[in-house]
Amino acid sequence: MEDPFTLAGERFSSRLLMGSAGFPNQQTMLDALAGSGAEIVTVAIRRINLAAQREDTAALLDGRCRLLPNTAGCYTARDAVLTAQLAREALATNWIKLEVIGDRHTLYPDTEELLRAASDLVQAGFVVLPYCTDDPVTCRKLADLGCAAIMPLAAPIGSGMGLINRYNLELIRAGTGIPVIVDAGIGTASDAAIALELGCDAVLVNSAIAKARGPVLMAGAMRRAVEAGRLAWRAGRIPRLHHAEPSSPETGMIGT
Amino acid sequence: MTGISVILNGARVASSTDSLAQLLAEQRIDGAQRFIAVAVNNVLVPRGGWPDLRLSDGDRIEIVQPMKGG
Repeated sequence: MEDPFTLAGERFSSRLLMGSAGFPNQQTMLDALAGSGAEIVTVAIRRINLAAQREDTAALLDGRCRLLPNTAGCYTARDAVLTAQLAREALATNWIKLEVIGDRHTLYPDTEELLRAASDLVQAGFVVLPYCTDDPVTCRKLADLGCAAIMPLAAPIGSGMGLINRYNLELIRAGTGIPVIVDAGIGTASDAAIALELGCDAVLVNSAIAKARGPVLMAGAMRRAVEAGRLAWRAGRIPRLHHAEPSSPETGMIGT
Repeated sequence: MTGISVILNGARVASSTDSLAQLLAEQRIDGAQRFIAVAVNNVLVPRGGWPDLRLSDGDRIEIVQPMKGG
């Protein structure tokens, strides 16, 4: 495998993680998954419906990808830790995308509770992948606690605003040795490409695929964008200049 | 024994049994079912512990499974 994405000691060929929510229907989600090439798909942990026929997302996706449970909807470290324990039991995985939300309107993380939950879960043997603000200090603290990666937001969840502070993402990239997975706020393929061009290791995309007019097309666009961005990062961009630099030879012109 | 009243996934229900495993069986959930987890009073109960767990009046039981999410 050339240039694998290594996360918690496991190697993946895709640097695109996909969320499973909000697709028009189940088949579109499966087709988008195939088109995206994603090998890791996030799921939420929720009460089962005791009254109705149960949908079984895990059974549907089992064998097609690695399921990464999240703690979406949790507002306290206590709820997030219990949700992580339930997820580990339900899915037989100690990987957890840790979300501790602080505000319903912005869905910004509650950093204080997030750090507390991350510490408890790392101690309990979880592979902790925390959704966090694009604050280099918070990211450094999460890395120091022993998280397996950090997942700074590009913009608020579902906003599609793209990378609203790419300078912070560059600082975060430069400031840590663990994988940086840009999570939340990706709006279209170029956003994903830029995240990878900045040196981030991967992106997690949900709404931008699921809610596109053509989710399967967008999944393919994201796949190619992530591949292109990664290649560009490895190749190294040229410096930005504030003046022109001729690309054609400056000698041998007629009339000289 | 007479029945107890528990909170099951947020709804108060009367239960004729104080056995967690039996209560789950009444909800068509058995220990062989994959992709499911149970907590009682905010504490995870691994499936191996379902048969031995005795419920008390007012216990809060959460039965969860993975759903579509981001």
